[in-house]
Amino acid sequence: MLTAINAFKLAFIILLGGLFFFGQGWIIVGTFTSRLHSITPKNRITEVIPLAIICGLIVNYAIALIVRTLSIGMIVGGVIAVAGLGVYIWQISKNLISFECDRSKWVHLAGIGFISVLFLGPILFEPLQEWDARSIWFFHGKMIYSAGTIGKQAGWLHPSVVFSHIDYPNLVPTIAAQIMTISGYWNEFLPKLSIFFMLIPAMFWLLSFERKSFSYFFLVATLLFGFYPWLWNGYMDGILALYISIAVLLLGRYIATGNVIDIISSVSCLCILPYLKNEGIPAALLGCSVVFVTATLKQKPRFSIQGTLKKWNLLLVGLIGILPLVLWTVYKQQWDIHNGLGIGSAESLQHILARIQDGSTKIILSQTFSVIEGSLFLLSLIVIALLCWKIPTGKEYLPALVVACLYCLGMILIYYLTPLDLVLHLETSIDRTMIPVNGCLFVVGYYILFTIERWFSKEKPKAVIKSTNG
Amino acid sequence: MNWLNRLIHIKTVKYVSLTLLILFWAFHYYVEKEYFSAILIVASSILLVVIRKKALVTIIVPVLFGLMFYTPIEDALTKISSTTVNAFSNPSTTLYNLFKPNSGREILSWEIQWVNSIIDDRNLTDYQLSPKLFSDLFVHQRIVETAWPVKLETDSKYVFIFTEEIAFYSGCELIDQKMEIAYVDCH
Repeated sequence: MLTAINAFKLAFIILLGGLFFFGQGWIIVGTFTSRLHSITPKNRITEVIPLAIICGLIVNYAIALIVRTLSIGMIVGGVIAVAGLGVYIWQISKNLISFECDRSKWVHLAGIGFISVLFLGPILFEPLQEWDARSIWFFHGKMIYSAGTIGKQAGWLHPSVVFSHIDYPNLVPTIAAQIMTISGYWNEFLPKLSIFFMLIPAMFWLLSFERKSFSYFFLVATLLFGFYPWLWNGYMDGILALYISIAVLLLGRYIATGNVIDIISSVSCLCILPYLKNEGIPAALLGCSVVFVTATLKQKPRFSIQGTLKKWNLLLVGLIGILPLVLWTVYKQQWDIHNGLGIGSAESLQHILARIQDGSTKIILSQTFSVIEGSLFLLSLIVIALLCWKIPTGKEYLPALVVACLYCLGMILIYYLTPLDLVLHLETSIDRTMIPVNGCLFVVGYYILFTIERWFSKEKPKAVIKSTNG
Repeated sequence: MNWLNRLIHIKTVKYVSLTLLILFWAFHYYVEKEYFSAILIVASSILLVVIRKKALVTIIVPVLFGLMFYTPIEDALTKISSTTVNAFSNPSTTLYNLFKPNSGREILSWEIQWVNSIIDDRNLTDYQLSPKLFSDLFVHQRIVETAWPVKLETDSKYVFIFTEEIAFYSGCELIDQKMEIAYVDCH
């Protein structure tokens, strides 16, 4: 009986959490629904669901940072979520939005459900074990939960927590604290449910690429299972890598199809990055630059950067997107919290110069190569096939390739300027800081495989015609 | 000599880059003594060039090998299956742990569990660690995060020490002890 009650409680929290984030996000997404509906192919309208959840996650974090008190923030968020769900139901009843659920859509949803159940095991049924997960992310969650606030009273300035990198963003810790506030106690299992909520939109987007092909198998295998164990163990690196990869993946599809929903989804994936880790800020800037260049080069009459900037409501959404970043930066300034790496300081420049001269380059490059070797090898195999078969490529893979290269260079630069012992810093972090590079390289591989498959499907009819004529 | 003609037909730049790519990996894996990988890249490349009929399977097979041996996908699937099987074979414990206060601490080392049990049982409002315990990052950080919101304070009278340090705490009362860790009250 107790097991049944606990199973019901778990299902209830997942459902409640899903509706909570979806409702908060729909307030924003719903405002643009008529526009989205006009620019989104009907068979892909379900892609606004992950968009709403991502927006909801950001709105929820923004509310927590504005209100600071956890319980009041949850009430405010709850009211907004109910309003958002109300808007959603009203739009459905007035036929302002419609979802055509054909067989493929059901297969898509069943796939998301299946992978969600698979992911619940390693996420939820194992306690927090890993170092950073305990010492940083979920410790922050515990601090917020214990104090009932994300404000100064959480204890950020207490001398005993200096090891915990208190300048890091707190999106996932805030969700963990909210879940445990509903439960009423802290333990080492249930806070990890916050990771599950973070992965749901990613799964929706990833499975929207569903096709009966090897390239799709490659995509799912690499992005959902190729980041092991960083997606489930409580670190933010895997989630960061997943969202960078999906952002460039969606951008590639935008290049191929020109559907505006893809570029909006891509930007929303980039928006979440600064709230996961500090590395997310340069990653988001890099991604946004690539989005800007892509959109400018592929400008369409119905979607232009200049036109977008003139629209006040889009600017408002953009402001909401960066609001948590601004608020957290202001709080850090107020509380005199600084980043331990001292990026941009005169000392960091000295470190770079010293390391260029002392032979550190070889150590950094060899360690970097050892981490991205697997994805480079896979990509090489695919590129060799492409070159051997003289198949012309599209441009879909370019954003992923550019982001992979520049992000890799950025991380190498971080290792050059680190004030920490270089070997120790590399040994303890490079296998996770380079996962986004692996992710982007997997996306490049996917698009090249996709090109090869597309070429084969075009070639075959010709071959048939040839043989018939012959 | 059809394969030779096919090779010649590839444009020079592509031919050079293709050759360099294959040679790089073959040389790298040869130096690393990973002969299987070196053979895989060379054999796949030769097959791709030589086999007259272009077939998707000639790229699918080496990529599948690559996915198996050069990514952690296999480990991920093993982890998923083991945790899911564990959860379904013992659902009552799995679900009970999710909704039990402080569950999951049993994976921590005995020192941390013992310090936490003292803090919980005696309702301590703060605590202090001896310099030797403090310098042990594995113990120090784990105690701070599991004991939170009970805080580590440098002026606390409730001190956890190694038994070998007891001489330095002669003015304090030994309250409890387990193996080499002791709890003293310095009021």
